[in-house]
Amino acid sequence: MDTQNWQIQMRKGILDFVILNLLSHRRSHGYEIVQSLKNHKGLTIREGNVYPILQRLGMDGLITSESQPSRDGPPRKYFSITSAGREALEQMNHHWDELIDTVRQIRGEQ
Amino acid sequence: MENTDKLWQDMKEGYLCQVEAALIMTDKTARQNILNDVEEHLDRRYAELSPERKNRERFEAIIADMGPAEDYAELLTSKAVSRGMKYVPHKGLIFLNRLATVFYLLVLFGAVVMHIGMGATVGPYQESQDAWVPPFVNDPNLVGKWISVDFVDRPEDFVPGQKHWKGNLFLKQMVFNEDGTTESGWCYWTKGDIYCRGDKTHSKYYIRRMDGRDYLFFEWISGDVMILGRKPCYYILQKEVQK
Repeated sequence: MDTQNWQIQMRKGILDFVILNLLSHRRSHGYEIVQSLKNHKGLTIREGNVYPILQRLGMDGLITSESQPSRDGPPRKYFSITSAGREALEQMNHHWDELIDTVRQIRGEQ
Repeated sequence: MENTDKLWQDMKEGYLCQVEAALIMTDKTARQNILNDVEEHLDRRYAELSPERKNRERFEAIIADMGPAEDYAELLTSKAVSRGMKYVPHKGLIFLNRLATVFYLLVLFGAVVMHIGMGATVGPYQESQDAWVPPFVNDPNLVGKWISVDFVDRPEDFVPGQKHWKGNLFLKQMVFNEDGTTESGWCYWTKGDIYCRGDKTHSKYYIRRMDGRDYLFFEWISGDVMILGRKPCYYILQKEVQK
């Protein structure tokens, strides 16, 4: 089995979830999100990949964006989670916890 | 502008062209938002480079870090492709767009008059399509199947046997029928021009023989060309050899 492909698909599947969690702590811009993901093992993505995901989350009303002046360059676009995004994230976190528990049980860890 | 700055601008534009081509079927607003975000990201990566690290190898590494252009469409999902979000352009843009439309119609009208004056034919091509396409003038060299081999910022960037475009090509092939239609039914052609429905784009084309093979240079009219007035990129297609 090609586990590398499985890992890529799994990572793609949880990116929305991970990005929403990052934004739930504080607003952030795309570049910062990429850097945050790089600091977490297994979550490193192609840098450009974050932007279509942010666009999609915005279209779904889960995040919003606004441009803010920057000291070291052109204005930056900051993304923030919306109340709808927080509600969705709560459900996603709950589902994630259930999923982890179930997998642990199946693996005989609990 | 320093040479390295110019090189970076060209490479950045090339990548943005690729992303735009990959997102061509998506909602315009979504596409433009992503292009702006990616450009901002690339500018930031460039700004972080110290002067001694501003070189081609480093620029290529930055572009490679961004990932293949085709990933963008997949990650955006089909929602943006078919949703058709309400697009509210700036008032100035609406005015410019209308002005451009009037100008375009005038040019088109002139072209139609010239074609008729030159004794152009009116056949199935003309009867089967939108009225905005001028009369058909045959180009036997174009008829047949062409396979995409590259996508370049400028025609002079194309080198036979070398692939400038690093990702998958969005446009795979084109088949031009003798009557001015195409196999996909999406586009029509007349000598020197290709017209596509939907966005109603008009591309110029020309055929050049290089290293013993015929290559079709096809202007790719994207949103950046139509809205922002940028120069078009080019698809290069190779004539399929009949066996």
